[in-house]
Amino acid sequence: MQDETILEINDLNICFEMREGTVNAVNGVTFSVKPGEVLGIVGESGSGKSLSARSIMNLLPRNATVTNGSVKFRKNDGEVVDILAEKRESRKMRELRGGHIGMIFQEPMTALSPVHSIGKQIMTTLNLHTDLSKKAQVERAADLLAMVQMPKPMEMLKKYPHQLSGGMRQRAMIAMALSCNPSLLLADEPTTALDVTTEAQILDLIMSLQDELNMAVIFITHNFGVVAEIADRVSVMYLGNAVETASVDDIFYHPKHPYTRALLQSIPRLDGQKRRRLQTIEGMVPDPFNLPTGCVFHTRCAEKMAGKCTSQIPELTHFENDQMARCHLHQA
Amino acid sequence: MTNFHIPDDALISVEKLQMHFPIKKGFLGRELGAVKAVDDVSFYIRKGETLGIVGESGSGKSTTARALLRAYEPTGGTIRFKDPEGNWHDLTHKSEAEMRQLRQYMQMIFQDPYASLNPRMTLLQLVSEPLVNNGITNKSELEDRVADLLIKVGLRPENMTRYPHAFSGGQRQRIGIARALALNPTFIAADESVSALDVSIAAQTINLLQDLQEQMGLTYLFITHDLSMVEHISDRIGVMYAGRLVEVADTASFFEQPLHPYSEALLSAIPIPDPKRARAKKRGLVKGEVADPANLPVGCAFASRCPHASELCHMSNPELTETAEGRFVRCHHSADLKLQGANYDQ
Amino acid sequence: MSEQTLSDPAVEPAVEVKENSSYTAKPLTLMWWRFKKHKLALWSLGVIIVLYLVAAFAGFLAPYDPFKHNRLHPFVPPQSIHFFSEDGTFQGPFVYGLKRQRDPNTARLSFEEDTSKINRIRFFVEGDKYNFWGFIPTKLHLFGVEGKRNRIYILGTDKLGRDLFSRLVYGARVTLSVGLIGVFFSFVIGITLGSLAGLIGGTVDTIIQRMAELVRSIPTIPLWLGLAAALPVNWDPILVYLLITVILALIGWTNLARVVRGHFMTIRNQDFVLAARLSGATKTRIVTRHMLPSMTSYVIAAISLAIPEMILGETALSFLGLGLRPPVISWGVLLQDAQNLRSIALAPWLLIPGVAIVVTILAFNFLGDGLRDAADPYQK
Ligand SMILES: Nc1ncnc2c1ncn2[C@@H]1O[C@H](COP(=O)(O)OP(=O)(O)O)[C@@H](O)[C@H]1O
Ligand SMILES: Nc1ncnc2c1ncn2[C@@H]1O[C@H](COP(=O)(O)OP(=O)(O)O)[C@@H](O)[C@H]1O
Ligand code: SF4
Ligand SMILES: [Mg+2]
Ligand SMILES: [Mg+2]
Repeated sequence: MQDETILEINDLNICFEMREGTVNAVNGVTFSVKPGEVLGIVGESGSGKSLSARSIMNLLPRNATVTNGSVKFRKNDGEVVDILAEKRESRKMRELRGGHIGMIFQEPMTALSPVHSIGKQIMTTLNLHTDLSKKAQVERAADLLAMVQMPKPMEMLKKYPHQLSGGMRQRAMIAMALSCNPSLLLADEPTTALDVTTEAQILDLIMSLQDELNMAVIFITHNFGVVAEIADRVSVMYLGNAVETASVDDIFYHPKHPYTRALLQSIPRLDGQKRRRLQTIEGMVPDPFNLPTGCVFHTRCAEKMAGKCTSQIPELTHFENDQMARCHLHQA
Repeated sequence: MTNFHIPDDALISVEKLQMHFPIKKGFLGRELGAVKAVDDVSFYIRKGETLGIVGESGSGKSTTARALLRAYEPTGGTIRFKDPEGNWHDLTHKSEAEMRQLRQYMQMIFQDPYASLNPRMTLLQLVSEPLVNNGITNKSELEDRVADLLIKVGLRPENMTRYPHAFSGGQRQRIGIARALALNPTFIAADESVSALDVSIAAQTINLLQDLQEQMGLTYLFITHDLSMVEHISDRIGVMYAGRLVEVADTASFFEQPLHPYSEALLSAIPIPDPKRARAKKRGLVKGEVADPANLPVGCAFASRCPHASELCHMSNPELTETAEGRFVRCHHSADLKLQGANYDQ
Repeated sequence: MSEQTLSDPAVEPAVEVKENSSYTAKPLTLMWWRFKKHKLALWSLGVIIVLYLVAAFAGFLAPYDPFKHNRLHPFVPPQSIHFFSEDGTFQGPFVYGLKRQRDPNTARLSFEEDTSKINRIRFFVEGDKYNFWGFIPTKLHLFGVEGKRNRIYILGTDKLGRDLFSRLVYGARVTLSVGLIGVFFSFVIGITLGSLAGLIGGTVDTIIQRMAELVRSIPTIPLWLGLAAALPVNWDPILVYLLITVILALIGWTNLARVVRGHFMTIRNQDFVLAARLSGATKTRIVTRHMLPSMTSYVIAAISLAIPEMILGETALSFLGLGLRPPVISWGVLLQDAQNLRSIALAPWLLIPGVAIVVTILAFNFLGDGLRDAADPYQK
C-alpha cells in the first residue's frame, strides 16, 4: 500500500451466482483515496457503485462472492487493515465501521431505527466506540447535531426519525456517521432523494465538515453536477468497471475515456445555447448476465476499433496527474 | 376576468386555478382543513412552444398538470383549451364524456415508466388503447397504426406482442410516448418524464421529444425539478413554490436575471456540471425547509426562507403580476431587488 | 418519415436482447411458471386434485355402502394387506379373515387375524348397489374381497360395524364441497362488497368496512353456535347443508372483501389507470379491462386460502353436533364418534378422519401460499 493513501482498492471483482447465470457486477475496480480527499464515483444505475462502497465496509450482500482483489485501509495509527481478509463481524471490522469509517445512504430510514430517538441512536454508537461518560455522551450528541446545523439540538435528541423531514433525517444520519471522528466517510447517493435546495444544503454541509474535520470522503452519485461541486478526484464507472479516474478538472476538461466524453456530452448544461441537440450514447447498457467481450463499452462506443476493442480487455493506462483510463485508444 | 393579456396564439390558458384536497380525519371523515396543492395559478401556453414548470417536490407541479387534463376536479378557476379548429373550450365545465372527446388533443406522459403501463397488456394493447377507445376496432388497421407509432418513437414493431416487463425503463418511456401520440394530440403534458431515467437514456428521450415537437408541431407542458433540463428544452419557464406560481419568464431572461428570490435560490442550488463554475458559485443562499401546502402562512409562502422578506411579506400574500410583457412575478419587492442568475460566462 | 427516424441516433439499436419467452407470455402463464418453482405447493396441488377425484368417484372407490350396519363386526381395527401367506408363498394382495374373541374379564369383543383364512382382494368387483353420480345405478366397486360373507376393512369399522374407509370417502364429498360452495358464496359477497367499497369509497366504504370489522370481531365459535342453533333439527339434511355453507360464507367474506378493496384502492391511484382514463376509456372499461384483471391472481390466492377455513368451519360445527348431523356423512360428523376418550382408547382408528382433515387443510394452505407468492408475476 502506498504511503500517502488511506484507502486502496485493487482489482476488485465481485460476482453473484444466480439461477439465470453469473452476474459479474464489479470487474477489476481499482482506485485509491488520500487523506482529506473527496473522491466522487459517478456512473449509471447498476454500474457497481454501491457494491464497491459496501466492500469497503465489508458489508456485501450475502450472496456476493469476491473472486479477486483487495481493499486496504490505513488507520490513524498507521496500521493497515486488509478488509476483505477480515470476517464480516470480526472485532476489527466492527471497530472500523463507525469508528474509522462512517457511512451515509440515500434513504436514511434504512440506517436509522424507527423505534429509538435520534439521541439514543447516536449515544449507542458513542458507547460502542468511545468510553465517554453518560453525561459526556449527551453533550457530544448535542454537539454533533449542532455541527450538522440542526436547529435546537437538545430538543432534536429526543425526536424520532419519522418526526423529521427528509433533509433533517439526512443530517441526523450524517451526525451519527461522524460521531467517532471517522477518517473516511462513505456517502452512497445521500442527496439523490432530496430536492435541489435541500440537496444544496446537504452538499454544503458535507463540504464544510470535510474541510473542518479533514476527513476523506467517497461520494457516490449519478449526477455530474454534484460531482463537479464536491469532488477533488472522480472515478467514472460503467458496467462494473472504473473506466476512468482523474482529478475533477481532468475529468471535465480533458476526459480520456470515450464513455466519460459521451456522458458529459449527453447532459444538458446551463450554457445559454438554445436547443442544442444532446449527444447521446447509442443503445442501452448491456445485460449484466452476458457482458460484452473485450472492452465492456465497445457495444456503444463511437470510437471503437474493430478487432482490438471487441476482443481484448484494455489495460489501465496511466497519464500525468494521476489520471487513468481503461481504453485501447491510449495504448501504444 | 384576467389581470393579464392572453396572446392570440395561446393554446391553453389557465386562470386562478385552484386545487385543494380536503384533509379528513376520524370515523366520520370530519374535514380538518385542506392541502392547498394548487392555489391561484395562472398561465398560458402558446401553440408549439414548451412551457417548463420547475419546483421542488410537493410544490404542486403534478397536480397542476393533472387538473389541466381534468384528471382532478379543480376546486376553482378556469382552464381553457383551443381545439385544432380554433374553438375555445372551457374545460372546467365539461362533463367526463365531453372531456373524453377533447382528450384526443390533450395527452400526458408520466414519470414512472413502470407504474404507468398496465403490466397485463401487450405493447399492442397498450398503444392501441386510445385508438380502440375512439372507435377503431379493425384489427389489422390497429396493428398498422401501432407499428407506425412504434417506429416513430424508435421501438421495433416486431415486439408488439411483448408485455412491458420485457422492456427497459427508457423503452417503457417510449411506449408511454407512443400511447400519448396515438390520437395525434396537439398538447402533451410531460410530468417528470425523464427524471427516473439514467443520464444517457434521458438524453435520448429528450431528443425524441424535441424531434416529435418539430415534426408534429406539439405543444408541451414540461414538468421537472431539474433546472438544466428545463433550460435545455423550454421556451418559457414557470417556477412553482408551495402550490403557487411565483415566476413566469422566457428561458433566457429567467436564467440571466430571475425576479423572484426563490428563483435565485433555486438557481444557486442547482449543481453545475462544470467544476470551475461550481467553485465560483455563490453558496448558502437557501436556508430552511420547503413550505407545507397543508399549512401555509398568511403572507408570502417563501417569507420564512427569504433573505429579502419584510414585515409586509409576512402580512400579505403578493399577487402574480406582469412586470414586462410575458414576465410575471409574485413578490412584493421584486422591483427593488437585483438578483443573481446563472452566470454563463465565468 | 419512418425511414428518417430510423436512422436517427435516438432510435433503439438493433442490438438483440436475449430472447426470452416470458416477454410474450400471458400473465397467468407467468404466474404458473412462478408457481411451479414452489415444489411444496405443486405437491399440494396434486394432493388436492387426488382428494377431489376421490370425492367425485366416492361410490366407486368405497367398497361398501357407508350406511350399512354389520352387527357382527363392531370396532374392527384396520386390517393390513398382505402379499405372502404364513408359509411365505406369494398369494397376491389379500387380508386374513377375522377371528372374534371376547375378553373373559371385561367381556369386550375384539378381533384378530385368522391366519388360516385368506381373503384375496379382487378389483372391479360387484358389491353394494349405488347410483354413480347420483343417476347411474351400478354395483361396480374398485375393490373388494372374495366370498360373499367376507369383508375388507382397511381403516377398520365403527361401533355399528360400518366400514370407516367407505364412510371417509363418502364424507369427502360433503366436506370438500362445503369448502367450494362456501367459498363461492363468500366470494360473491366479498367481491361485491369489496369492489363497492373500493370503487365508490366514501360513506359506502366506511359502512362496509365497519360491517366487516364487526363480523370479524365477533368470536367465531359462539357466532357459529348461535346461527347453527337456529336451524331446526328436523330440516332436510340438504337444506341444512346449504344453510351451513351460507353461514360459513356470511362469516368468511370479510377477508376476501378486504383483499379486493385493498387492491381496488391501490390500483385506483395507479398511473396506468389514469393513463387509461386519459386515453378515453369509459369507467366500465377501466374497471373490467384494467382494474379487475390486475387483481385476478390475488383473488385466486385469497380463495385458495379461504377454502380451508370453510372446511375447518364445517368440521368444527359438525364435530360439536351443531352442523351436519347423522345420517349425513362428513368428516366432522365422523369425528363425532371420536369425541370421548374411551372410544379413542378402544378404537384409535376413529381419528383417521382427523388425519384426512389435517392433510387437506395443510395442502390448501401450502397451495395458497404458493399461489400468493406467484400472484404477482411482475415482482422482480
Ligand atoms: N444482492 C444482489 N444480488 C444479485 N445481484 C446484485 C445484488 N446487488 C447488486 N447486484 C447487481 O450488481 C450490479 C451493481 O449493483 P450496484 O452496485 O447496486 O449498482 P449501482 O449502485 O451503481 O446502481 C447490478 O447490476 C445488480 O444487478
Ligand atoms: N390526491 C391527493 N390528495 C391529497 N393531497 C394530494 C393529492 N395529490 C397531491 N396532494 C398533495 O398536494 C401537494 C402537491 O403535490 P404534487 O402536485 O404531486 O407536487 P409535485 O408534483 O410538485 O411534487 C403535495 O403536498 C401532495 O401531498
Ligand atoms: S414577497 Fe417578500 S418574502 Fe416573498 S419572495 Fe418576495 S421578498 Fe421574499
Ligand atoms: Mg446504488
Ligand atoms: Mg410530481
